[in-house]
Amino acid sequence: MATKFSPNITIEYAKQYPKEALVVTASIFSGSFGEPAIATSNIKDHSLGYYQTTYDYPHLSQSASPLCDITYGVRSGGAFTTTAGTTADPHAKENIYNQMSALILGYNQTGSLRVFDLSGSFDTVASSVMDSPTFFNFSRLVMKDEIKAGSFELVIDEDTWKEPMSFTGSLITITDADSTNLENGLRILKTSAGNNVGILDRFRGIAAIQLSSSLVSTVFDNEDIDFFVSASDARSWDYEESIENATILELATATRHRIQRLSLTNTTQLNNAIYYITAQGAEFNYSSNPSYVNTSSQIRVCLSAGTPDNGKVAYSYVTGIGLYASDGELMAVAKISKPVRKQHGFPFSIGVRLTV
Amino acid sequence: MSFLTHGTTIVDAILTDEGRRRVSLGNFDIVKFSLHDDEIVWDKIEQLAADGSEIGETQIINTPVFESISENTRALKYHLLTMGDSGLKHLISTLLVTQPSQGGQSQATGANAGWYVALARQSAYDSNYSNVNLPTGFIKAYDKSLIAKNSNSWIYIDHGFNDVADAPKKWDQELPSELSEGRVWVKMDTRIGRLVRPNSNGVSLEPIGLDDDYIATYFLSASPGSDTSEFFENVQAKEGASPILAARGRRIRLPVYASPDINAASNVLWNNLGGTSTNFFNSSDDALAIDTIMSVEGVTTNLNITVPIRFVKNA
Repeated sequence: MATKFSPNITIEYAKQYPKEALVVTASIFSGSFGEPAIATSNIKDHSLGYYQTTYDYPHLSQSASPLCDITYGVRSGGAFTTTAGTTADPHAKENIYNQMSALILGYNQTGSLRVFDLSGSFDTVASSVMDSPTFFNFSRLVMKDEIKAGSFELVIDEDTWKEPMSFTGSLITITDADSTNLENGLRILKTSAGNNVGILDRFRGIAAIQLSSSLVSTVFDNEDIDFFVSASDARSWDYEESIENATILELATATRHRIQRLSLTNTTQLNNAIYYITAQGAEFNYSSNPSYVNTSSQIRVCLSAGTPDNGKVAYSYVTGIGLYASDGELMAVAKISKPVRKQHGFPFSIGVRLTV
Repeated sequence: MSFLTHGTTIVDAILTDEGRRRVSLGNFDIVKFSLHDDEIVWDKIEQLAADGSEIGETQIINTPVFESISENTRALKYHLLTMGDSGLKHLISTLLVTQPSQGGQSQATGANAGWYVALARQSAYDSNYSNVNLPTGFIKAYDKSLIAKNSNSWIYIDHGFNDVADAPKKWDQELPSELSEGRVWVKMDTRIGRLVRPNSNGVSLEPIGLDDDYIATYFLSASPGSDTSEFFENVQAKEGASPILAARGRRIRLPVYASPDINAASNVLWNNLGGTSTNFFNSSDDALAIDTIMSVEGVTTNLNITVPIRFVKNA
């Protein structure tokens, strides 16, 4: 019985987790493209002032892609009394904290928001509670499906504010390498000296880092060290003054200028269906290609010097594979890089991988 | 050092546009496969090296292969075939029947050589040909009732062994059953042309499928009891009754009419899909023209032909 199709397919489902290492350097965070005030900047302030976005290219360009948002949260009832958030919302930092807490940590049995805690215990307010975390929210482009455990690394300059930062001799590395897995994909972020400084949510792509206590020497708590300075405004604030008096956008700018490097490895989950097809020895040995026969309907591969040769058996070559629905519509197509011979008596088996 | 296992080669596939559409609709399924050799031009198999030795198969092996494309009607073209007889030395040829003496329809001549020209609007006929004979290869495609009843306006396709000397079956013998095609798919842009049932009062044939690019697929079957058997007829039992020189299968006859989408006063579709052909009518008046193809493909054999049709109306 002549046919052009075969139902001889077995299907195997599999998952793949390709990974991609990314490094974002200071030249992107605070170097090449200037600050939000200029049109060609790769930094974009949120229109309501709740966060600041870093792009890989001037954000007005169509080819620009967002990398991460930086924002700040302040825990209500914590160590800081904030008076500034955004231009219109003095409670913005508290609202951001609550929003992040609700999303990442959820509510406890009493209905209260759980709190960010460097110890990894989020249910009690202790000395390790993060009262003013900096949030790095990574875009889908950067984090893909999740951040690989142990791959996050942020190198930040702890020196007093200057423009530009020197990035020499005063660098602190914050990482989740060799860290502890907490609930639901959370991991503790530590300095290279082993001090807990924040929480990484690998699945949401959010890093919450308590800069004030994160650094070994707690320099940002030192009133002699300026965390945020705006020379034009004659402001010279230490960390506490900055958290209480600066807007989220000003704090994000201060943080951005301190970043020497940020790197992580993302993971993408690919779901594969591999269709193993088998053409038996007696199948697919002829072709409907019009050039397969000459004008006399003779199969060209069975000719010798232009005349039929009874010693030759028809064969074909495969360059493409089609996968079809039950109604005959072509659902997927695969090509073989080099033509493969198909001849009588020799089955042809190949796996066709369809990734979704 | 252990031996490497024989792993199965795995190639990556892409979803076609129709496949993506079905994924979004939640009715994606795959139940069968086909193999293809679109890139192969088999003429090369007969090429000889300078010293006269055969090099053909090397030429085939070295054929560069294209990447996959996602357009489902164009992604794959030529199927490999499974035939019950492994010793075949002939397959079939597919030819348009263009000689009226063989019961066929001539193609146009001159600037339209190689085309069937379909008048898509009655005004094109009335203003240009009402007082003269319609040129060879021109069809009154604007009236599907007229087309359905006028067998001189149909397009005919024959298939069979086109070999006088070595054909396994001569003209007066039956084509082997597995090479005699009784089921075909006809594909055509439904915005341009459609099929009408032969000898009906202008009853359109409903396609079995319409893809995202407006390509309608019609299924015709010569099987007894099929409601599309009227699209087939027997070739006259005479040696010269067909362009196919030896054993023939059943003739396919295809009445094509202009879609209501272009049989309309609006020029929008005409300008989107076609253009102006200057001095088209009687070498003086311009026409709007859309060139299209109707592809006819056997369900089980290598019956395969592309019929070019030029739809025109007054500019």
